[in-house]
Amino acid sequence: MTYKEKLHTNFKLIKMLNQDQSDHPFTKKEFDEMNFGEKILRVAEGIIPPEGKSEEKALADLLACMEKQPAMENLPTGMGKQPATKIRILPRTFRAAAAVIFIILGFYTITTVLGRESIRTKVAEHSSLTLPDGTGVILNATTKISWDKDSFTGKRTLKLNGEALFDVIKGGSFVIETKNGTVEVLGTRFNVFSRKDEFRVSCLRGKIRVSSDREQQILLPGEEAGLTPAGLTKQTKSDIENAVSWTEGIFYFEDKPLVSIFDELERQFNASIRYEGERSRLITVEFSNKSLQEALEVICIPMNLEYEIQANRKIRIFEKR
Amino acid sequence: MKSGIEKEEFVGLFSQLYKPVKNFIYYKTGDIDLADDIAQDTFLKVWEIRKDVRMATVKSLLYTIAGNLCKNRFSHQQIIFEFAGRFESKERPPSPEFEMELKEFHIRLQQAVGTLSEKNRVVFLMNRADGYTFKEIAENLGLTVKAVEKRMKNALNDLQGKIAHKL
Repeated sequence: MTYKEKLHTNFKLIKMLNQDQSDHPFTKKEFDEMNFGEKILRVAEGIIPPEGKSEEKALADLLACMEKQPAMENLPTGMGKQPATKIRILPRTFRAAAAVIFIILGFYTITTVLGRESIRTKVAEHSSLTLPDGTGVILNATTKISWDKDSFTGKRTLKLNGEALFDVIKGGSFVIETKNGTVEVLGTRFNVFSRKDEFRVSCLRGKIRVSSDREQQILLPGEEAGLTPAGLTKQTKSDIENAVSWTEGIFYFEDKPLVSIFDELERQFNASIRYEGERSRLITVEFSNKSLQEALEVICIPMNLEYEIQANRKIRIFEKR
Repeated sequence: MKSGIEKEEFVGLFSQLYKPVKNFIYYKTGDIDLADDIAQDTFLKVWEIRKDVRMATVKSLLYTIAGNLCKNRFSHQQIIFEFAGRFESKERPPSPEFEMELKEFHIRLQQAVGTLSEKNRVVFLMNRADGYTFKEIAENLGLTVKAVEKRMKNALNDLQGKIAHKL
């Protein structure tokens, strides 16, 4: 087809579009028979711009703004000249209230330094909290999250070190930055684990994008991404709920290094463990954070290990002779 | 002619036009958070000057204000448009191969749409994604139907060039 002919076909196509909004679905056969321009136009009908703030929320914000300026009768009509008035989505009093709620809800400490809000749980502490946008977060022991106080409502970005379960409220983008990689929420409920060099993200509901260095994975419900020597890999888990059983005090590990389980024990029971055995062993185990002794038995007996609880919550674990 | 709008009318206006205006700003800027912000400011402006607003012309007024606000915020900034739209198949249930093919096509299309000029992109997406007719687009943006047609044509030519190049 010459350039001129192409222009002519396009011209006809555009004319046709103007009269007929074709939103009938098409089949493979129909698609194959379309010319290139038609294909573009039809596929473009499936473009959906991102959702952003919900319409109800936008209306509520707008009405709140309108209430604030009742005496606008004599306002000059020149529009678009002055910078637009911005509203705070969370009024000051609310922020204070939110902070108070934080303190009441859990064991964690909340600190504000240079406009950054940080929340930290100690050893053997779990806590749940609500972020300024309404998103629910459950923090596992020794976990820290922080965010920028002023820009969070506009640009939801937070930093995480440790492990946390998120239940994200619908809205604009929600990004979690960790040392090992970045998680961007495209939907809702998911678990992020990022301690030392270990990085694991499990998606329970919705859709998330995980990136680490240059690699990216999109996770759907039931999928888990992890950082392995081969890079960021994705696998499907039939038992994805196990990834968040920690929120109920059950700790589930599948084919994980024994030493990382001891790390978890230290965090959950405020203990310090000295392990004298082979460091490369893997284990699949499930234990509860109700009893240290029980947890130690569950781990040690099948692995043919012995443990010894000493003073000050010190534990020595060694291979049976 | 009657001028001035009441609160109920304003809320009605909002439910009718918030989404399209927000999309319009998104097509211009490629930033959904910014689009939320500017859409709110746009409606607030209309509310501020409600005494002088007539329902008959409020549509194009909204788009004009939104366009101006985009300019105010972005006069010195180069916009990089990264399209975050999602893929949706219309054939149910589609065969996996066909779905893959469409998805592939869709991704290429989105990338190409991001590289269109702002004028062409806005018109193309208002027509394709929002389903506005050329006449409606022309009224909203204060253009002639001919101009809208021309932008559509340019957009389609550009897209054909860009997608074919990659295939």
